[in-house]
Amino acid sequence: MNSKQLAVGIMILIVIAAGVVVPPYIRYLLTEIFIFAIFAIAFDLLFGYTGLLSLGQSMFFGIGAYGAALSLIHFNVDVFTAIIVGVIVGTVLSAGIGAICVRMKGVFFLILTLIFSIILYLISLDFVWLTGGDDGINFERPELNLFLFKLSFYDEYFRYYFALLMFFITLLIVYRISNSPTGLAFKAVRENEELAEALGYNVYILKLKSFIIAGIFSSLAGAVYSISFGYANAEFLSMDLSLRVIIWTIFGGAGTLVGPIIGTGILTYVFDIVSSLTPNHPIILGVLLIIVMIRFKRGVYGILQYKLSK
Amino acid sequence: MLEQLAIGILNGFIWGMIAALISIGLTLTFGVLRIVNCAHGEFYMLGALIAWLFSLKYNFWIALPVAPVIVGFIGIVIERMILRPIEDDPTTTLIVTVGIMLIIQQFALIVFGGSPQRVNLPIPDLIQLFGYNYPVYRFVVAAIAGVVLILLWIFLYKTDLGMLARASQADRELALMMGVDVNRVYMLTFGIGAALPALAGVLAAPIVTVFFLMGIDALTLAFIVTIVGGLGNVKGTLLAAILIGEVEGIVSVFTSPVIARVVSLLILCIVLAIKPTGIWGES
Repeated sequence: MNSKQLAVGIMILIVIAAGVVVPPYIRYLLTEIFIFAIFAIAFDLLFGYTGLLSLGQSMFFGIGAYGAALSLIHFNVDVFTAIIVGVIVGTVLSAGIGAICVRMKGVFFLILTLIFSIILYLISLDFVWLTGGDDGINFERPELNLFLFKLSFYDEYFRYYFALLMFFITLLIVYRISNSPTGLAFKAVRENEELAEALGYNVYILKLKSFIIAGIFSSLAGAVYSISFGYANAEFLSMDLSLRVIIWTIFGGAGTLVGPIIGTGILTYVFDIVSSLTPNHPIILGVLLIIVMIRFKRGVYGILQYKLSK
Repeated sequence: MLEQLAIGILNGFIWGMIAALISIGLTLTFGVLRIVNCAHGEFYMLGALIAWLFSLKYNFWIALPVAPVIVGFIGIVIERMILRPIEDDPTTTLIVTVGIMLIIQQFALIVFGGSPQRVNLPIPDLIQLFGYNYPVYRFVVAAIAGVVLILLWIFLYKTDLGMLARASQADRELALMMGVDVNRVYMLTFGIGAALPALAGVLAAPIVTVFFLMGIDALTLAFIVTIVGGLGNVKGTLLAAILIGEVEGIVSVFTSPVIARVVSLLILCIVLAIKPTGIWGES
């Protein structure tokens, strides 16, 4: 156990030091990766731990992003309040949509989450006066005076460490949840729903809890993303992002928390390179989806764990 | 106002017939193969693109028999090459079909280009209806869709092959035990399931905007229709298609198509809240 703690400690030191050392492009990319990792961790709790494969998780990312952006634009709140507003909107929405979707079993759950996210996407494209439609909205982020410090999201160092902090907080909370009695009950639901029901668990409430927690952190990721980079657009609600979080999670190793973070890191970097090379990059996403689902379902971290345990 | 409503109802019925072709393909694939095919909307898109191509180069009507054959063949290839090894796991197949969907979309983008296209009405005649000039072509669409649906009904309920398909749907193990060549039935069903939306795509091409992302819209519609009607239930799907078509047609008169789609989603939620297996689904 001690060597594990040591490894974690070293990793933390490395990412903290990296913020200062690495060139701006990598710092930007890492900031993005930390925020996406929050999203992937949220998704892993829902899919990896509870066994609910949501095909529309980006709707909460997008709603968080728009919630934060619009409250900043229309109500003149400060940046942190804006993020909190984004999370609250995402939480309420996930409770509502979850209450309907979680009733459905198996593929019906997937289809329903997909339909909800596609329709939210269509709405965001249609309500141009609110969402900016296809182009999205760009906005100014006011500076914040906290005691003697001036905090600004235009400062790339602050942006980096803020994303890192949010990432650690999310990881810690979700790690605690996954090891709590509730987390174990989530796993019971994943392994055998009928048995969990027979043991006296309220499967519906457990699934809904998991769905809402995932919604909270997904919208947190969205809110932090839009505030960090100063824009929100319909892409945040798109199926593309929902698929990416699925592929990050499964490629890294679903149900391990560490795996999705690794998956997010590797694949965000790969997609970044590929999308600068060709406009047809969704093909890569499609091919990856097929290969990973057919041949690689355990994921990088899952395979690593399996090899080490032998 | 009343005239507008009448046109809305008529549009809704014609769109419902097209929706029926798309959705019955999806429901057949699910009913027999237990595959939820997310690439389904792309078959529709390919049909429409082929129709656009033929209307430019040759004649629109040639696309009507050609597109379903081409797309049906593509469907068979996809089923044999990619889906066959993982057919028993609905979740895996669903995500894999999403991957196929992305690939077909990008393929269409590369081959046909990304700009939205319009297809000229193959029958330019208009008739006076409720004070509007209504294209005759739309009645032809409804008639062709009706004929195809009747042929499909004859195939499913009056031929041996259709009986085998229904048998595989009802109980796959038992069908296997009785010596049904389930693999052949699967291949054929997936082919038909791909050809039907392609046909719908050809018929819809002169009515809608042809675009490489148009499949997503069709997929959403087909999902709503098939779940309302009961996934895997052909008759239920047909009735639900007309119902949803009418609702969207009528609501579109007053607001935008997106709001109409939101209303269909609300109907879906209400149906699911009352009867999770769909209106005509078995419980």
